[in-house]
Amino acid sequence: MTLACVDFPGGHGSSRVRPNITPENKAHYDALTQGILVLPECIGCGAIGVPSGPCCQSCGSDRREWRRCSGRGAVHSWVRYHRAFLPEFEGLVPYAVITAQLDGGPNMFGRWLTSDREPRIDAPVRGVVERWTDGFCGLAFEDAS
Amino acid sequence: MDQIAVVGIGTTGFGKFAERSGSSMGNDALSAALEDAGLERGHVDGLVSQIGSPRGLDYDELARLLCLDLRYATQTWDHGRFCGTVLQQAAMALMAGLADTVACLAVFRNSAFTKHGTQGFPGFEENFREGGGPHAETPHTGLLAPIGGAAMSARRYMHRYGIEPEALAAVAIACRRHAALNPLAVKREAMTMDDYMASPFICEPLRRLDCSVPVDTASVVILRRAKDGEKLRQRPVYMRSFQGLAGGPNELVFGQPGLGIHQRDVFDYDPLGADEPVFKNAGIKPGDVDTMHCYDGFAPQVLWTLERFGFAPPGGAAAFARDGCIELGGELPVNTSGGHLSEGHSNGWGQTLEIVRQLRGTAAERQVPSCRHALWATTFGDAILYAN
Repeated sequence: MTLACVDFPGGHGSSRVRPNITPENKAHYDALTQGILVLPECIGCGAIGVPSGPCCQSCGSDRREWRRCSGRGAVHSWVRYHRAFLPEFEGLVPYAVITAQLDGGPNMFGRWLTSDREPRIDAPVRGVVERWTDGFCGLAFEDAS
Repeated sequence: MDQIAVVGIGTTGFGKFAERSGSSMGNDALSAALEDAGLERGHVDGLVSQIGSPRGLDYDELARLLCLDLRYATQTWDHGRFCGTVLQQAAMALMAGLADTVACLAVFRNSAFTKHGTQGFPGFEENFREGGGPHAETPHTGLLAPIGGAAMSARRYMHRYGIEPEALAAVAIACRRHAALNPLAVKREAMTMDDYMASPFICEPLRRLDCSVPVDTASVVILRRAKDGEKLRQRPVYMRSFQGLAGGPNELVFGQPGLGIHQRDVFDYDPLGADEPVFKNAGIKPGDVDTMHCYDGFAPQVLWTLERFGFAPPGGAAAFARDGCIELGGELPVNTSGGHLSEGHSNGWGQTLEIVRQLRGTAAERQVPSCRHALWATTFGDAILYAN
């Protein structure tokens, strides 16, 4: 099953927003454009990590392979911005960002897309792909209660 | 091993000095510190600078513009977390004989730039580091500015330990009460619990009054090896023990290990506390510390520092703060000059100057009685124990 994809609803100004694409994270961001979440799984210790860095952040092994993940998880923590630090987010204030604890995987940040409910810690979430006008796709989350 | 002593301090104070150059601010702080120490500029043969251009000055231009003839010079990354690191590096240079008189010089300019976290602020490109921004910034998710990581950590911490906003308020109010007694502080008007609760959210759960106050400032601390019988202008303040910055997958500068923010694991934090090297190497316990000074970019950092260094159990710093223990007259006065929250965000230099005043016995209305041991400590794990 692929993740739902939505357009980023904020402004499209001139700020630098998209991350640097490196050999270590390219597969992750490429897959998101197809609605697929892949994360590096360590062949040595089995940990599923975040898509950055050359080795497993649990055991240091560089033997890893891409693992398709569901994008499901739970709210681990969250914040709500009342100030836009970049013009792209001005029309969205106040907006929430969560730390999601992914099932079997790492914690990842993502914007909270369920506008009529605030995040609740431990409540289930599902990953959503948020697409910027330049084609960049990042991970966001919505309520799955 | 030689003891290292603070022999002179100087500062421009804290404020909006947008019209001033960094070098003139640094020069004023250096002149004040040399006068304080009874030394001449020619004595200075070592320099450790925090931070580099453009918010501060690089060591080479400082040496040239301030007429310093150096045989040891270095500087730190363009971030605020290195006050203890700078002082430790200077101490190590002295111990290794690389210099005899080291000026630790910190210049921070904010007024000349846009706000932290916006595209015009120096270092904005660091948001796109391979490992994420220095404070967990992840721009495409909207997690922006240093406050984002601090707020994310604070929410999890408050949830984990059932901590109410009143504990954060107690920190902000304590710092403000201290600042009211400090003529150099930028925020001296009284703050009540109602004032705190009426303060607008910047990034929930953190309010404006949970945030430090950006200022322009320069400070200098002069270190030398302590020599028996040497005539010094000021009562020396000794650096008794050190520990360096902590790093690792579970460390986030604005958080606590185990909170799982921008970090790998979620676990129950069991801090070393009294077993931290800064205590063991000095042969003292947390209870022997008379005053603690910490990096308080955001109010919860005071709670996290108290827990990391064993002054309260995990989750217990909230009650410690609410009970007034961190105020002057309390069990462990914290940031007695007002800290970053009310004196102004000096990246730890205001606190370091205050530590020296406390141990010299010159902190006036803020003096901690019979002050023997003062601790610099941070949520990022570094610490220095000072004694007189």
